[in-house]
Amino acid sequence: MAILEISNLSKAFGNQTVLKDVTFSVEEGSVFGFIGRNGAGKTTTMTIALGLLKADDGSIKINGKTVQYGDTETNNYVGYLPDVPEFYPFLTAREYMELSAEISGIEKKEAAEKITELLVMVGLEDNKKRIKNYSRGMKQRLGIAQALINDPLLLICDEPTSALDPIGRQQLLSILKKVKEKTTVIFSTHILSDVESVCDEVAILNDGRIVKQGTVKQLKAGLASEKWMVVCEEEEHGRLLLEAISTDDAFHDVTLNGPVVNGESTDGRDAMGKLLAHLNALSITPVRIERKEATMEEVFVEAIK
Amino acid sequence: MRGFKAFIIKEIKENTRNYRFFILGIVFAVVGLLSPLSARFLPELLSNMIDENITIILSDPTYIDSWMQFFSNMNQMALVAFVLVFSSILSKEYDKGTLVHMVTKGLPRLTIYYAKFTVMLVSWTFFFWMSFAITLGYTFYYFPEGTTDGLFLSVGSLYLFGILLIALLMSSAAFFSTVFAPLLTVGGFLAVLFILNLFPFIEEWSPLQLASRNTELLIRTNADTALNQSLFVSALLILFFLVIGSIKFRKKALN
Amino acid sequence: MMQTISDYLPILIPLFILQLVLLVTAIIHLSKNDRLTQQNKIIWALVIVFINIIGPIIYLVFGRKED
Repeated sequence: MAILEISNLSKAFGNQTVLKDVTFSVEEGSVFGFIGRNGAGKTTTMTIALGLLKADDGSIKINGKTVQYGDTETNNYVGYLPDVPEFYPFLTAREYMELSAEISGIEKKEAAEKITELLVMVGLEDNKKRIKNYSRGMKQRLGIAQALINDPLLLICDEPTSALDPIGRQQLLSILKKVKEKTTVIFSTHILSDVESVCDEVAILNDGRIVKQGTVKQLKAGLASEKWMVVCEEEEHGRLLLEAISTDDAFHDVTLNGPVVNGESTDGRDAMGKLLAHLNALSITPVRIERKEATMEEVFVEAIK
Repeated sequence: MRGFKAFIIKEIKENTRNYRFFILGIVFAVVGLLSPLSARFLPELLSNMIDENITIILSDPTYIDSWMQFFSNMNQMALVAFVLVFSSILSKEYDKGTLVHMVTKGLPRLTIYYAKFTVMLVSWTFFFWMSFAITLGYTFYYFPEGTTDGLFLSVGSLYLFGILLIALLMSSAAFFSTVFAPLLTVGGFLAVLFILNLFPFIEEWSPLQLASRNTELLIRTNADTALNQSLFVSALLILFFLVIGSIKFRKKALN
Repeated sequence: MMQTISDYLPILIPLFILQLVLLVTAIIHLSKNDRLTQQNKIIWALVIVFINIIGPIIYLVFGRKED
């Protein structure tokens, strides 16, 4: 079942269009990556889903219920972590969590256990400092803890890793992986390595439109061309191979670098067969021949072309 | 009213830890002390300073002078300090985006709005009457001949005027997002009241009477038609400010 | 004159105590405040000590730089 359904969403600020007819849905139990360049409209989409911003057109459903602007019932199913989370600086982490729990309508007794559990998970359990003394990473971790207080069905994170140092990022991603067991997570980012390490499915947003959506595997498979590489024993062999395949239009963007021939083909499988045939005909024995796996970066660059 | 109590506790912690309550406590207590003191002290100070060759007639101060000082100090110091201290009641939250977490956890916006108003109202009530009690005690001590006739009406009027300004402050904090806008709104509102007072017809309906006729009320000891009209208009305005503010706040963009 | 002063003592003493409490609170906060430079601290200290009542209040409202 789809936990989040966005249909035909449009939004403009003045005469600047931010979202045009955005449609996608997020299945329950997945980690969904929402990718796009800075200013592509990721944050706008998320704030509309939280009822914090009014859409010009289209609708969003969370757990089957339509999101209203202003106070919205759907927020009961949602946890939210903004990109730069700010909390009341005069409270301690525990006090803040108690406030969050009470607002979410959790029983006092149950809340105390839950708060300890969550604070342990994000590594802030013994912290008696007030939030005003927290570092960025600590605030981000507290952000996750407070977003999970109401056992949300959907956790929305806006660029959770972009402001963090490498260690903070690792900590945060491993927390997200843990969270995944119970909650559907949607997170926006432009850091593609994060997407590869945690996301099941992604949608790519460009110029206010969804240009690609699918699982990481599907998107990679759907790339228009596949890269391959042949490593020969001698430069001479490389040159011979290059010559032989230059007339074949199954190959393109072929380059020679010493004994290494790099190139792209629309059909990787077919290209491999042909390459082997050419090598055989030329009686060249390669050191290595391989199909290169596509990276998310290639998928992304092609999608936003 | 889920979360009302929790949010109130958060507000109380905030105002305590940010020294707001502390500052207001001191200011209101000082006003309470200063009023009887200056009523008693000023004439003597004046007569000491003036050349002995000039004779001026200074009537002995009475309890009326003490309350006169109270009204003027309350208007010019305490109320101003109160509005200043609470002018950032919402702007700080907008600025930092801290309300986003509250709203996305399902805390109704009206709860936020009225919890904040309640905290201001209770603070005003507490500090105002504390200041009043101090002045009352010392006024009895220094001017034992004074009475309390008309006291409730004249002091109560000023108290209500304070509530009117607090309601306006809350409302304009919902409409505007900067710290200064609510201050300007309250200041502008007072300026408009003063200008409108030039027209006698408006003057007898104006809420400004609640803050300007206190000494007169203390002596008259009963309300006249104009004051009743003023009380009526003020009550309506308080409701009006609160309601339009809350309507606006329900639909305000918070991110 | 002595007569007058003792007449005012019941009101002057609490007034003095209030000022002292305000002053001490502000000075203690200032001395622990690590968000201000040494130079700013000295300026604030002068403001707190020499501007009666208003000085400490201004510091506590605008000078803390905590959030």
